[in-house]
Amino acid sequence: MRIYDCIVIGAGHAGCEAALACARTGLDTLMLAISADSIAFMPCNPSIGGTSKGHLVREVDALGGQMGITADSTAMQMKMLNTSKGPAVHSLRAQSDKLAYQNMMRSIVEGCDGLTVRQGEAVDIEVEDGRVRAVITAMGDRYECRTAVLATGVYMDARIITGEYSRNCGPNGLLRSEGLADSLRRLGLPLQRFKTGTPARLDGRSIDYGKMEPQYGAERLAFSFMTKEAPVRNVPCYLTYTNKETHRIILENLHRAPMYSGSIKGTGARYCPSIEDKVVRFADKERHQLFLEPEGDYTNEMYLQGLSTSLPSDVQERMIHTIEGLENARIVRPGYAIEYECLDPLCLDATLAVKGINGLFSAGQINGSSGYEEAAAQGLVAGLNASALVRGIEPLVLSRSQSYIGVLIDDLVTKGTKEPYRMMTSRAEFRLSLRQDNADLRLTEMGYRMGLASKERLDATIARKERIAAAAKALESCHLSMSQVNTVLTEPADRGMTAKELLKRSDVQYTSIAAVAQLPELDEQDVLTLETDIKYEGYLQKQQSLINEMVRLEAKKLPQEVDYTLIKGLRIEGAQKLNAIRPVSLGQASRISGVSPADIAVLMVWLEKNGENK
Amino acid sequence: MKDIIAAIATPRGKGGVAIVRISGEGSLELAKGLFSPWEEPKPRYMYYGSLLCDGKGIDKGLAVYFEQGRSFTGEQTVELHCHGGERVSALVLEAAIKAGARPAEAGEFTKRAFLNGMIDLSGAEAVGDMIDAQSRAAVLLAGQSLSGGLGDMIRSFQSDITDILASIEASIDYPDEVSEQYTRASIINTLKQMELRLSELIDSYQYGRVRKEGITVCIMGRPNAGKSSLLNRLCGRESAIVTDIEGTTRDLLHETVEINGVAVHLYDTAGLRQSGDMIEQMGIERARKQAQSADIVLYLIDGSNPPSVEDERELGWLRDSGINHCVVTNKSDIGNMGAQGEISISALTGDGIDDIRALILKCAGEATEGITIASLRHIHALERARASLRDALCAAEVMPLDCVSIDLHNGWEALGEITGQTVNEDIIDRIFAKFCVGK
Repeated sequence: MRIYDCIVIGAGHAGCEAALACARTGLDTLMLAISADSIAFMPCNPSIGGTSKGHLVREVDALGGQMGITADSTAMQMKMLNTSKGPAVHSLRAQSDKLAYQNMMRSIVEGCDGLTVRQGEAVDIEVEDGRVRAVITAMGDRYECRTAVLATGVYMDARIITGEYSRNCGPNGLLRSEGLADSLRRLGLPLQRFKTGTPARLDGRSIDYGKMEPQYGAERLAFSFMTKEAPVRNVPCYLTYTNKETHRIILENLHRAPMYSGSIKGTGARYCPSIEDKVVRFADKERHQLFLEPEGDYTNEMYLQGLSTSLPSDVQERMIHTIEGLENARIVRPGYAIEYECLDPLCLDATLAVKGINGLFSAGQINGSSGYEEAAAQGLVAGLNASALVRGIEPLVLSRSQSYIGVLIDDLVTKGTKEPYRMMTSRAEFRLSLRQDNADLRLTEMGYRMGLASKERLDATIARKERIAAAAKALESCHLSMSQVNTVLTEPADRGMTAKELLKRSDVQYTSIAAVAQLPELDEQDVLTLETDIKYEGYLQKQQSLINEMVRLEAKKLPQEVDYTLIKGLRIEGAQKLNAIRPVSLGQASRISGVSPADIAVLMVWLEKNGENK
Repeated sequence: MKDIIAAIATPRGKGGVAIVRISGEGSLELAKGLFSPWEEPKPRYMYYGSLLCDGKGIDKGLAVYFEQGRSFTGEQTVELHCHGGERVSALVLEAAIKAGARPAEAGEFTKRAFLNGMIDLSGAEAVGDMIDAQSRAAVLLAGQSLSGGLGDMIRSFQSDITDILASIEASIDYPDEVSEQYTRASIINTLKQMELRLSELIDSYQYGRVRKEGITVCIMGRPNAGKSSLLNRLCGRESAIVTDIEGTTRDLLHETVEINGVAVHLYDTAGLRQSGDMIEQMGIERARKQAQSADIVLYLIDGSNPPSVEDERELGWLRDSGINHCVVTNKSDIGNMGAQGEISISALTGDGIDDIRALILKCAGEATEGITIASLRHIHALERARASLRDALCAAEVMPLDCVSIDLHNGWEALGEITGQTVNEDIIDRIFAKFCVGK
């Protein structure tokens, strides 16, 4: 009988990256899709990336993932967000043609050697002697495997709700997954119930765009470090606002909103709130921004970003009609909320393996996260680590100081989450070092070592690194006379200086210095990275010393077998949390909520006396 | 893992009572072999009975038991009170060791109190300060830290920083919803206020240090200016030998007195003159050295003689060395031949001595409202925190807000070193190494 190296349960954004990571690193891989038509389906917004999510896409790409390449090829608009702010928060976003994205991803998955796609609903995970053994489908098929990746998204025991209407099904009326949640419960895994939602889609012909502000993107932008020809399309989105009348209608009908009437029990995201949540929570705000985004070339449907709701469809209609430009808008699909079962991610370790079950991994919304990008990032890591286990090599563990992916996973498995976890710039404490422009420099070598990033990609990264280093050196050794300096500066200086010193000034660009001095030629990407590294050198150094302190604590490994309640001096709550989460290092322990600095001091002293470090 | 520690908590030597402190899980059980009767004692009640050594009663005394979480260390603790002989307390400790306790390391009780979360780091240091306190002011100061006053203040600074960080993060995460300009303005405002408060705290160090360590006063002057008489007058007894013979005081003489509750360390020094006597010259060298580390030098001039060039020369030396000093004209009871002292006194009659006391107290600086800083470690951490806040303030004007948050994180970490929130084993070890055994 055929034994798959890895079975990926789910074919969404986590499932696709996981399955591709496995198959591309040589594993005999099976992808179980609940519907073969819904591979890489985008059930919510028609965009990839955005604030901090754009970082995730670039990191997935740098490691050799697929999302960035597909997003570049199917983009209707590319935009760099937050360009008026510091370099750490610049973030790329693509407006995607949803169907094109889905179709391209599907053809890549279907064309991938070693990857078998099978339509089937997983209902049971067979575990023998603490190892995952097989996956069983609703039709009774049994597939044996060495490893498995759970990537069920929002499908487990899902229910969609709009006002008083509710129905047991997955997003957009797709089949939901039944039985698997119970199977996981039987394996002793902790589950929780989360809620998320999506806004209405409108008929584009019924929208008065003349009353709205068009929002265009920019040219020459791409996610993937491998994309040679950046997307050229620039289809606009449109900006409009809610108003007092909209809010009045929402408030008057709040009793019919399932979150407030009590018919939804799942916990929703604070950061991606429904419009009724926003109106209640930010009662003093007179208006909220709304964006109309095209769903794709194949349809005239427009996505109403910012108006996620589960109010009854008649209320949705009335409130939409209060909005400028939407007075006569027709709803194609009403917005809805969806409730689903997911894991408490505290049962996972930093490789995204389920603790206590050898070979079982988990990625995406089943881990309590939200968003396509968060899912893809986890899918890639879980897939690579299933692959590492089969191949007998060291797993991939990304740290908080290396990547947003590291922050995402560390947050999930160390702190857990009580609501759908969304990536945010602020969660990355070392964000000045973790920029979207240097994702390749940070991660591609690791991706190559894991066998996923190609040699071509690695060579490109190394070449880029060398170009930047050479230019940095040239800046340092290039002395400019006062008159040279003053051709660049608007406010004249009273002395000459090195080109590096000059570049440190906020209003000076590399290209303007290159016009008066001999400097290597660089492309835009290289210039951005170099300029940022130089202009923020002092701050990057300060950040580095904070990183070093963290790395020092990460290097203090904690034994996995110890019973923390037996360590003298630990408070009971601290010891219980430590027993539950079993951090691998003192650094991870220090981030667990409920473990106090005093507990860490106790562990330090205890480690000195008893630890493995000695 | 059982780890019971024991030590004599009272000073060595004879005293009315000596206390042997035993701490750690199982202390209650262990004390069964050390004290009788000891059948299920109520916590925090004193019991009278026999102290045992090898099962034999060696002394009559008291025993008290504190349950876990309600003792100084936070662990189960037993204290045995015996008579204050050096030998008897040693026997009681020996008995405890034989029964399975191990001798405590220096500062280990306090370290355990810290590790068990009973006190924060500034509280732990306060225990050491309380033990070392030499004056009423020092006791009050340590008491203030021990009750968590400093820790609370540091935490309030940290919470202000956290608030700013949160506002920065809000503006980073929701660039469309939060106005960055508004965020910057309010950050600058808050940081300015914090910098002021932090500076006040840092400025309280001079006062705090003096309260804790006392004021060092060095009395200098030419031979027979009346330096020893002034010392005797200030300490209220015949500490120094006073004669008419020049060069009577040849070495440094040290006395500590309390003025208005502040410890004052008085140094009487050899009279300054050219002398062939090698011992006297060495004494003069010591006097100069002492003057350099003093908070104030009282330079005495014999007012009954005309002003001398030697005095002028010495005062010149004090000025050139940048030493805080005050010229005091002595022997006002005899008369003044034109000396221009800032204060006129008679060490013999006590005339003007209150002025001297007031002058000395001035060195303690102005009392500040609230918390005062008295530790060099704290002042270093606070100064680093202030430097980070100042950097943040500069950055808040021009740099992206991310840079501001890096400086703020640094500031937070520096503050955390005071309370122990920023965990660093070096700091912890350094602090507890300063303690003596039994604390």
